Amino acid sequence: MGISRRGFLKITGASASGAIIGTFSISHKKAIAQIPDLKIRYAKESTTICPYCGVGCGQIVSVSNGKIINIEGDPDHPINQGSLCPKGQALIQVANNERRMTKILYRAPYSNKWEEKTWDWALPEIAKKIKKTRDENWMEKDKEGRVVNRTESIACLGGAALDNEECYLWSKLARALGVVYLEHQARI
Amino acid sequence: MTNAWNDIKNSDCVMIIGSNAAENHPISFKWVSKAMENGAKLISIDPRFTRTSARADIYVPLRSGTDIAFINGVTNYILENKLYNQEYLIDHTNATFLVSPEYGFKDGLFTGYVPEQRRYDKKTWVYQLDENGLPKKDNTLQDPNCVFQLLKKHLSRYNLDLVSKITGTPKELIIEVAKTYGATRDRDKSGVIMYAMGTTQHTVGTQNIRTYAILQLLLGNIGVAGGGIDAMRGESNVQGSTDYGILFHILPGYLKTPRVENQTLSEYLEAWTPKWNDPKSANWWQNTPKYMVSLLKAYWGKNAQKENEFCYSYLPKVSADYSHISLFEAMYKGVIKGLIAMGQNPAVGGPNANKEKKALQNLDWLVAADLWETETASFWMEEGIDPKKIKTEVFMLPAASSVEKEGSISNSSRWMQWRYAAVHPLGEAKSDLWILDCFFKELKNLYEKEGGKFPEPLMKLNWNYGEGEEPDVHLVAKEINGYDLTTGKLLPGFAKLMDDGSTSSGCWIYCASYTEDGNMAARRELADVPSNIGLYPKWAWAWPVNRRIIYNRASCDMQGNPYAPQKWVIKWNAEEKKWVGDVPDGAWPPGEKYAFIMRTEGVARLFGSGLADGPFPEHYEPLEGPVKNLMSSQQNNPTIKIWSPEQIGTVDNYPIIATTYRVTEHWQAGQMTRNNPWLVELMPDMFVEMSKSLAKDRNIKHGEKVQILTARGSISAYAVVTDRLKPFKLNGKFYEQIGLPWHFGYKGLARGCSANCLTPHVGDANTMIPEYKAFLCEIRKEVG
Amino acid sequence: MVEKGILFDMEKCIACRACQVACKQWNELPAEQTTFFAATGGYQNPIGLSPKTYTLVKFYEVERNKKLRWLFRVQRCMHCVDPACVKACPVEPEKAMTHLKEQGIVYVNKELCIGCGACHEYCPWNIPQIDDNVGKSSKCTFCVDRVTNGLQPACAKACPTGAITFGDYVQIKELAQQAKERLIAKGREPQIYGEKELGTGTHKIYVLPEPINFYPDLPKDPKVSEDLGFFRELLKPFGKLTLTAAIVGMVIAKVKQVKERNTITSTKEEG
Repeated sequence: MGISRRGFLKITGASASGAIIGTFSISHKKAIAQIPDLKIRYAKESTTICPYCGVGCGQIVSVSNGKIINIEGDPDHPINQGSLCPKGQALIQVANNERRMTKILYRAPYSNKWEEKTWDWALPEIAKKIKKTRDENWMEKDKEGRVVNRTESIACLGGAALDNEECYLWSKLARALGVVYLEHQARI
Repeated sequence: MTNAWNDIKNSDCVMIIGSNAAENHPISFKWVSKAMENGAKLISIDPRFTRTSARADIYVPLRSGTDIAFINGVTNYILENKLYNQEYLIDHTNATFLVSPEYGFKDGLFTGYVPEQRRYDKKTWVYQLDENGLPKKDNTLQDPNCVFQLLKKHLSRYNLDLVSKITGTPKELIIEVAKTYGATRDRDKSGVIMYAMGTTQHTVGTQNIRTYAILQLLLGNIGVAGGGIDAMRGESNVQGSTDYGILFHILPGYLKTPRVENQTLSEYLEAWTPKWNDPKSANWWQNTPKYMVSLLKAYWGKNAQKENEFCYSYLPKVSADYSHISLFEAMYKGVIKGLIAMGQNPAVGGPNANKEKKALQNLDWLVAADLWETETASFWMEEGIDPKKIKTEVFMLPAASSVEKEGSISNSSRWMQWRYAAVHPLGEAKSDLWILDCFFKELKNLYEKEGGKFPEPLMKLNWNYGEGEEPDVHLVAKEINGYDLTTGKLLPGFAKLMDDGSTSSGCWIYCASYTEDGNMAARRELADVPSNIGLYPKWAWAWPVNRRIIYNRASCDMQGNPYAPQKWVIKWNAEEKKWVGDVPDGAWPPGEKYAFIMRTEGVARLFGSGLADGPFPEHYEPLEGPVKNLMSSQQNNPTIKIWSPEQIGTVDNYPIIATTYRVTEHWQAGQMTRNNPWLVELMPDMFVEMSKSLAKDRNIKHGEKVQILTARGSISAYAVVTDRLKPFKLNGKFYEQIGLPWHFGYKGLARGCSANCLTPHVGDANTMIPEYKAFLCEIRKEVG
Repeated sequence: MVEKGILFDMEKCIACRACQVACKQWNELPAEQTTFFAATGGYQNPIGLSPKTYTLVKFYEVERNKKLRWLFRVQRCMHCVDPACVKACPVEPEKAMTHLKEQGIVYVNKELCIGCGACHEYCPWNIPQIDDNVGKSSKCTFCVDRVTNGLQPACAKACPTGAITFGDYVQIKELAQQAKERLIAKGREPQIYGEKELGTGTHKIYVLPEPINFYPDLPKDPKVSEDLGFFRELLKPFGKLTLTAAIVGMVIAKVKQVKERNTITSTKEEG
């Protein structure tokens, strides 16, 4: 859905510069032969919105053989009209970056190193921690006997880097757990 | 933002204050530049001369932490010289309303101050009501108790001399701003104020924004094209994450979190549904019951029935402040034992970061999901820390990047925009949606198997997002929009929401975003409105109900004629009896309802009882201010909470003003840019900017390593000695100021000290946002 | 395709450096190791153009009429109408420094380049950079692969504010005039740079909002070295096959030596 072979010409944004781009006539055949082919010519393109600031610029992601080979501004996008700031322009280095986390890491108590783990191990472990802490520190009523149904022992942080649908589930889950220390970047 | 990014081009004067838009929102400058090409003036008000200032027609240096004094001074000049828009004031604000004669103000305190609780009893901050419960008004604006006269009286204290002594801004610049920006009062002119964290991150942050709101209302700049108050958001979806209530005090759609006093749903609705007698006020929040019940239906589905108050009892009830600073104070004390951090890095981004990192050591367990190994997840690895003494178990989960998953985000213009997955996540990384779905399923299993404390909210939670490997994000988006539960159809908009359990909506302000007509956020049509002001109504979708400029009924007179015919937002078509243009703030004919439908009284508030620290903005010094408050004997905001008095520095030991900020090349706590080689190339190291005079005084040369010391800790950084920073002359004496980018930490390709090791644990009286932007320090050359 | 140009309207620049990164991204250039701000004037990094950096934003903090000005300038190849680097390029018969005259594009054909450095030596701005590791010259390509396929150059496309505008050369010259007039109306003293420089001009045209002496690294009156002809003469005896970077290097050194001697002689004569 939404992914199409839009054709590289969509990336031109011919109107964006206010300049009219003419048709290229080959008049220098030998030199042309040395011009590198357009790397995105056969790439699969999809649109996205920049993950950095709150402007919400459109970007086009070009994928070849399952790998992102180019990300640049979406010329159709009314806000950025193809342009980007240096962060948005460097997004490909977030997508393809050897420093990215690709494994589940675990640090045991008092340990001085990470250990690699699997999701199958980590998820039940995390659930056990949450449940234990929640159950041991559950507050049904306050000192005056009023029902509060909460736990003050678990804090949940973050959300500004998540999608809306993720945010929705995040606050839904946190509240179903009775978490009141629920905060994110908007506060700071 | 009340308006939208593209709309900046319609402005006649752009005031950028408390923000450095050219650096932190560079694409906003596409539209600032367009406005300037059309003749608009650009005013940059900033403690430092920035890349925004470099483009400005007028650059105004302002001591950090003195926005209220400055804007009140500008507004006072506008009032004294009658540069305001009286028609707008009378029609669209509470300028005419009479306030209780009991209300008063003396020496920095409004009436009703309760010193032992550091709070106000607001019973005198009220309107005078007539026998029908309607507010008494004086349309001549002469009554000494009318809001307009009270405002004038309050602001008259902010004379040019005094304001200049407080802010360090030369008098003539204050006048120049007042005249230049005041020119937007003309009916067909507009001015926009663009702000960001330079405004909010103060102990008076909310009141800073109120000064802007008052100024904008006096000039008739709200609701119009090229006007508004544009809060520029720093993260791509911090708008959305706020809309969805990932904050202790709000539920999705800005519904209030139930307090312990609200034991039952009816008590909750009674407490939070505003009532007002004036039929001309739409008082939109009177619909609170519909939105709350529809949310409970989205959360607990069939289990939520009228008989059980729609499972209202399942929601936790709050009785205190659980905001970021309180959270870390509680963690520091060992109250909090487990932390789940989804893409947040408080070890760099939190105030008083040394304390917050220390607090992390008290946790039993920490779960962190991120794209990168953050300083927060690896707090136990920091140099100088012995991991053998730290008990915390840490789970570091690899998260998918924005181009590896599908879903929507909401920008500062409130545009909800859809994104697509271009590739699979790297390695074993997973989307946060998948991770959260797994958390829920694992927990449900566990409670099913073992039982436990109050499992019902979890066991009965309405949570079913398909059978696929990845939860179906479209099902989530549809749940957010909401259903007509009698037909099973998606709702076309929140006007259809009911309080009887027959509808559901996970976030009422997003109702209409995903309807039977499809996913509105994915729309890509570029057609504009007839006036061509750049609203693009069929591109993506904006909350609420695709309205692009909110309070747009205030762009028209009482007959529905736009004030600015050349850039009209909406206008009344008398023949067809309907509004055309943007989606109006309610379809009622002109004059039938007031324009400010979210305000109980229907008009904008120059005087308001909503805030904790006063109905009018009053200048107080930052917690760590370099000088005595010249406005009153109240040195600091009298309603802020003081956490650690021993960690407050004074001007005797720390004579230099410090402020923190961001730069174009890095982003927030840095993990998304300090791991990115091209951006690291541009800004590889932590630095501190200072004036030439300070550098000379402390014998510091450009490029040398220096130490910055505060009552919370010290850091080192490279010295940038520049003409862009200048000392401020305050009440006859010069005070130096330094600037620190706060992006750095000890992980990543580019490493450096975190500026937040210096910032204090103190928050705004209303929002508890930390005072990152004004504190005191000392600076010296690093030895050895 | 008609002759193309790029306008650098530096009054509109916010020094965000999207152009610098866009250039790296499209051309797949690696990041350089940098430290602090090695260059003077502000946030500039890296210190200069290099085989890894074709586009660089420079910062200038200056005082003008008692007002602080923070000026910015994008530095890179000017794409001369009559490029000296092409004349200097000793690779024959097909030049490594390739000139698409009709389109106004000058770029390095890396397959042919021998990395001799003549292009750098004879460029009035010393723009081409020689990567000694691979023995190739490199510089801004005018995004020839994009432009010849109807796309804008990466830098112009990325620029948020329209400070970098790509278009037909004729149109670019007109836009430069308009930008200059707008600045004059604001009481500034702008200068167009590149339209007439070197006599025939360049395809990159600056509108500088302040007089040129506020940009000390930009030659006021750029000139192609007079000894370019002499250099070409000296190279003549070498055949196509024997031509190496080392030989060209020797010839350049020889030219310099002669030039130096002449300078000394002429100084003596004058003295």
